[in-house]
Amino acid sequence: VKNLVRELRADRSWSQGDLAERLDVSRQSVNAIETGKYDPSLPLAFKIARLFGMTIEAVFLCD
Amino acid sequence: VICVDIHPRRRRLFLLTLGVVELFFISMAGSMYYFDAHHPTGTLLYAITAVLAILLLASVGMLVRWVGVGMDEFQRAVLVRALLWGLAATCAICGIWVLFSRSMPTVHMPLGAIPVVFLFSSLAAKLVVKSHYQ
Repeated sequence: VKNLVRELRADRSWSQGDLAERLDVSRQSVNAIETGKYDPSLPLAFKIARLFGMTIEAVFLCD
Repeated sequence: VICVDIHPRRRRLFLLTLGVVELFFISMAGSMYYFDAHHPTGTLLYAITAVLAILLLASVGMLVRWVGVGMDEFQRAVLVRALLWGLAATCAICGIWVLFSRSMPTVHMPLGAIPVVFLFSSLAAKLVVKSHYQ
């Protein structure tokens, strides 16, 4: 699953650490999600989408 | 390799888990020394083995609690994969070791080697699994 997390984070000038803090996860988690090497669980995906004020389908794109 | 969380509740749980696991390893080492030096029998023998078994169960219980509560889902996924690889490596190494010891009795496997092999193989596996995600 591809995602726009890196772009959305960059738009807000947040570091990976800032986003990790807002999501209450580790910075490594954010990095793994951004690089597409780890697909988050549904609750975390919802949390990410809500944080950016978008829907899950707009943030996470099916391959 | 082990990253201490800054969240106070998680850090407390992590330190508690570390303490229980350390207590198990110290008790294990002490018991092995005592068994070799004094060869306990009867009630004492059963008491020592029961205490070790309880400490092992407590260690695993604390680890399960820490993995379930004290980590985020990505760290949990990495750790679980590393532990499974560590378990597989431990089974393989100990199996080979036991087979060797059947034909060469001098290559005796000490009981204390099993958790050490598991610890090191899990740490090595964690490095490999983490590198996969970077």
